[in-house]
Amino acid sequence: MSPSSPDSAGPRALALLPCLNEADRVRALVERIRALHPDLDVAVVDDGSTDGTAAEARAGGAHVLRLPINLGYGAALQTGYRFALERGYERIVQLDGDGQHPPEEIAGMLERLDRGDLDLVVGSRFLGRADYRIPWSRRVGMALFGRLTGLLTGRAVTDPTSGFQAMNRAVLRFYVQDFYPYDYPDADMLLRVHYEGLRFDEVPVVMKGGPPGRSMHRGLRPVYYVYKLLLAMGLARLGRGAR
Amino acid sequence: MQPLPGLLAIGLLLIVLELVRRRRLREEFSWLWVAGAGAMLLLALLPAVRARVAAVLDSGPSGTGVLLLAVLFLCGVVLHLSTRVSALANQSRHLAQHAALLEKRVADLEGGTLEEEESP
Repeated sequence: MSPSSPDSAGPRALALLPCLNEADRVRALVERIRALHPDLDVAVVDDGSTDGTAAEARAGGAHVLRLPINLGYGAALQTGYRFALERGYERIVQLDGDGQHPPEEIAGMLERLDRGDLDLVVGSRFLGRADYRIPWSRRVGMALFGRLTGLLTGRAVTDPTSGFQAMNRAVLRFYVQDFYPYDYPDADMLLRVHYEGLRFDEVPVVMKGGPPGRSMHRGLRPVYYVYKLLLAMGLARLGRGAR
Repeated sequence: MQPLPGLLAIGLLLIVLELVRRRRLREEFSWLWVAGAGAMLLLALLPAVRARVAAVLDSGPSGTGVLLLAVLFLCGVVLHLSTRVSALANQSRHLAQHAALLEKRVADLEGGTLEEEESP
């Protein structure tokens, strides 16, 4: 199976999967998305994997963008955004390559986006159901950032760290700028989207646990994460769209 | 004259020049170190300047004023290098993303896929 020609008048929606060393599961994930959504192209951004992720994704029928070095989750996503803009996709939905975001939820997110009153749709595991146990420390952090984002944007935000998102070209154009973070684009990006005048909202989704031992919140990373997010949110608030 | 700081300054100057000569330090970064070593040498050679600096910084004759200057200088160097590294990281990101998009375009134009390269 091969991806549809990017130059044809084919599907204008893209499923985007940033992956790092996901050779064991990326092919099945790509095939699952393509089986559920034949009208959807799939692009995998291989963020410098060393385990054959690119070949597996290609075998599953995805467009594959191989970064020559590991840049980080955010920069990998941004590569996909550039690709989507370059190839003329009207909307994209992004999922984690580790299978945490079930492809069955894509339809609901794109349907919400297609109503036209939003530019960005964020899948929230707290409006829906998380099929795994979230550590209490992470839950507290999410609640804190959700509350903070809610205060600053004037709307309820239940899952500010969700990477399960669908967006239109206006958001893509906004996200390909230099301020977009290399690592974790989370609540700070929601704030920037809000200050830019773009419209976002959450929809309930089911999420699964990632593979064991693969969490990005290990060691001293949560401390750095809290610092980085508070700093970015503060600067976004001060800058009010300054880039 | 204070011989030890003077010798250290001359040593630093020689090391910096040698690194530039061997192309292991770019000229654009060397000037900071040359300026630092020059200032250090000046303070070592000229007690009057040292005394003047101490007076301006209100630090007394114990040398803490000079130490403060050295710390400020090092902070300046680190800040300068941090901004340079940040700029380089941005450039690397653009290059890597551009390479990925170009590789994809070439693969599409060739009607297939590029051969997998050996992973590092």
